[in-house]
Amino acid sequence: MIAIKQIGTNGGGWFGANSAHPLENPSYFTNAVETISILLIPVALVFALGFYINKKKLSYTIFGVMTFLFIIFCAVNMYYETKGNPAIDKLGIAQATGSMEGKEVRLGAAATAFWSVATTSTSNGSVNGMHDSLTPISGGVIILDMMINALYGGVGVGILNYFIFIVIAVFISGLMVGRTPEFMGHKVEAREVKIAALITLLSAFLIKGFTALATYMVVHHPDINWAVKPTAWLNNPSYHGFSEMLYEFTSSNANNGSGFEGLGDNNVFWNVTTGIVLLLGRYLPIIAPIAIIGLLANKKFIPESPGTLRTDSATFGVMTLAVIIIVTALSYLPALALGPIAEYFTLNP
Amino acid sequence: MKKNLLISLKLTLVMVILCAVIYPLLIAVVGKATPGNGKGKTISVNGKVVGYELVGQKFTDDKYFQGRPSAVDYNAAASAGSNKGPSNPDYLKVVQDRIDTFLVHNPGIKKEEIPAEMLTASGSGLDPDISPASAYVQVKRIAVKRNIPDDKLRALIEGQIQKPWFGPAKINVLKLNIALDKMSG
Repeated sequence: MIAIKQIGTNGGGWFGANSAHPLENPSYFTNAVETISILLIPVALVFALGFYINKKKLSYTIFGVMTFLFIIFCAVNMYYETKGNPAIDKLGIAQATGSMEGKEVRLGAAATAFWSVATTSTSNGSVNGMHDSLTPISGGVIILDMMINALYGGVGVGILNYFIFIVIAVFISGLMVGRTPEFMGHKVEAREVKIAALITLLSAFLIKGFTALATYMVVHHPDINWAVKPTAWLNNPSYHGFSEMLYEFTSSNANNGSGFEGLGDNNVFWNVTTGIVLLLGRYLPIIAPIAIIGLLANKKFIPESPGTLRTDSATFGVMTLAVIIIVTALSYLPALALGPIAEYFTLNP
Repeated sequence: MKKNLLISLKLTLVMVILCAVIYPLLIAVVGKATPGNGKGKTISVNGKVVGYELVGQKFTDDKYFQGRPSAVDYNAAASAGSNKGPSNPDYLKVVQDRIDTFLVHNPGIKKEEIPAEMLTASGSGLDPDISPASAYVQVKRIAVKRNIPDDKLRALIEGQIQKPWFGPAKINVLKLNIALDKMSG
């Protein structure tokens, strides 16, 4: 059960509390094993790619970029979780062990922070502490992590999402040096880039569109005649309530499965909307890269020359990193500013 | 066509045997070999099972060491956290109430001395452990209630601290309380 849940990046637990439950994750040692199994296959697949297409250096570059962002996210989360909740500081309580709401003593704040990044990086979705009770910035980081959804990514699909970023990076850097962009000896032209751009816009559209719809229902029709009224959805008021809804749609778009579980989401509205997001967010980003590859494969192969932009160089890695950061920041920063970032500034005025 | 069907049928058969027969049997054998024969590690006192080592229980009596607050009131059939956000005013009121209750039950303890985990609900609601600091902070209360000197209680706690290779030091509340009962006879 746990083996399937962790290694298969499935994430559904036996108990309601998932891996926070003492019978599902009894000690720090089992926690370490479970965290490694989350990352095992997604990371291995990055290297498998290089092995099969005979471009090992390309997979090292990809791995480097993914790991760079992953480590930054981990560091940020660990810092904020071990520092504790500022609101509890204000009540005059010393938080030597960090923010412990929704966490277990045997695991501790740091291990829970690490798990939260690992599980959102890989579309796994199991938890060993309650994400809803994370401090605002860590909550924001894991939402962002699922928005990128390409740092290792789910089994197989991480590379697909990353491939979209590569196509855009190839295109942009091609424009910068004034050459026709190429990837693996095939010209990347307008049509391929259009598909890639549409896919990056699709996730943003799905997540933000549906979050807006849910927010509209909560604000304007709180007492509409449904089995579960929108007033009853949110477990937390204000900015954190918005984060709950944003997290829910981001999680379903990334096929992650974890949630800010305070959200009352087992009712018609949420099941239907997240179902739609799940289907579109899952299959279109699989169809698109395959379409791009199909188009590329039909083009004439151009052997590499000294003038070719090398996609396995460190420079290109930095370029992809920049594209990932710019694309996600432009798409999602406004939404994050309304949720986690606003909450952070209310706690730290 | 026929050949392909045959291959996939064969593969299905092999996978069924591997995943639905061999793997579960293997796991069952491993389970039997673990402490508690795969049924969970129980703790007995005088031949009577008093609880599972890994599932936390609620202690309300001031004579005993108390565990962490729980969003499901240690109902082992439920298991959940509070899912309260860090800025939720209702939640902060609950924490304030817990501080007040703790201070009433533990005279002589200052607010700054209470470890945060004694005021916050665990993720599963069944956390069986507390940190050593959370045990030490309850020493004064139990010393008065049971007429045991502080030093002896501290020594008892010292003996119950579990320090894994990695990870935080912890104390199993149920085991600690059983040892406490034994000590005071």
